[in-house]
Amino acid sequence: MSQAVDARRAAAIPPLTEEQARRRREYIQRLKGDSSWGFESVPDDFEHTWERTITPEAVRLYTDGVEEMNPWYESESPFGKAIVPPFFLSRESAHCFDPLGPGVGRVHVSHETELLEPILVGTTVRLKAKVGRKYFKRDRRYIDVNIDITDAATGKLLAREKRSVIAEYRKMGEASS
Amino acid sequence: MIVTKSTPVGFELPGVKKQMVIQLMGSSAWGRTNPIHWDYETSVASGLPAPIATGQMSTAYLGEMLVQSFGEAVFKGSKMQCKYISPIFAGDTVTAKGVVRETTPVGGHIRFKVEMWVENQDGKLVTVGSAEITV
Repeated sequence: MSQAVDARRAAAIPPLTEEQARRRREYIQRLKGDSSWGFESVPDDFEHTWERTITPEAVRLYTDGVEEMNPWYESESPFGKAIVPPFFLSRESAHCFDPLGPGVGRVHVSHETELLEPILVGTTVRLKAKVGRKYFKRDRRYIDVNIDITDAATGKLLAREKRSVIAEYRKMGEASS
Repeated sequence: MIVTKSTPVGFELPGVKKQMVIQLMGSSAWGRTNPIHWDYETSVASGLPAPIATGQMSTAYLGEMLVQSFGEAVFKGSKMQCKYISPIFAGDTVTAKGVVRETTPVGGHIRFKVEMWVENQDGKLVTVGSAEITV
């Protein structure tokens, strides 16, 4: 890595006070303690279904997180009321492994998303996730998950998602740094 | 909306450019419960050189670009795929870009196929993908 890149990355991570650093370590330990995440801990037939009411606050968290200012997501859209951003539920799909606790170290590597209908803010959606495949590729452990997203009230299919994650970035056999 | 039925193959969508900020990378919307997105030591222990942004932030930038160009057509009957091929780090400046690669008439409408990607400040591809949208 060049010195210029090193300097840019270092400058982008602000220094912490001792108290901040201590609390951060404690929080990370709690996350790890709450997690049973790992390639081996995901059964081949793993399934998880959950519902989420898409609140204005949840949409605001998402749009603030990428500095997206489109009024369609806050007030009115061409579909009448406010709608959710196109990939909002792709992000929500990341909760497919929530029964295993925090996914410390997990890395999302790809997704395919099909948007069938616009989704209004306020809708309660049901997400049904099912592991499609677990496999090894280039010394990393992959899991593919298929997710159907329906309107919880009507059962209408709104979107489909296929996402792939690797259990951790480090390759199999590499020692932890 | 910028794209119309007569938009030709080769049309370059206006890009979306963002500065990656570690406080956003670690926010509740993205990486709060996975410290590889905001904690240096955890990232290095996982084999990474530094905290990385969730791929979904890249996807959101591509979504913003698509909505700017295709408007409401994005939200009904569209398909997208994204592959995160290289990490994005705090301090990077990334740009979502896209080019119309195919147009196919479908029942009075045009189905557009778009090649899209996100590149960093060095021009390195970090995310690649495609979208199909009917106008």
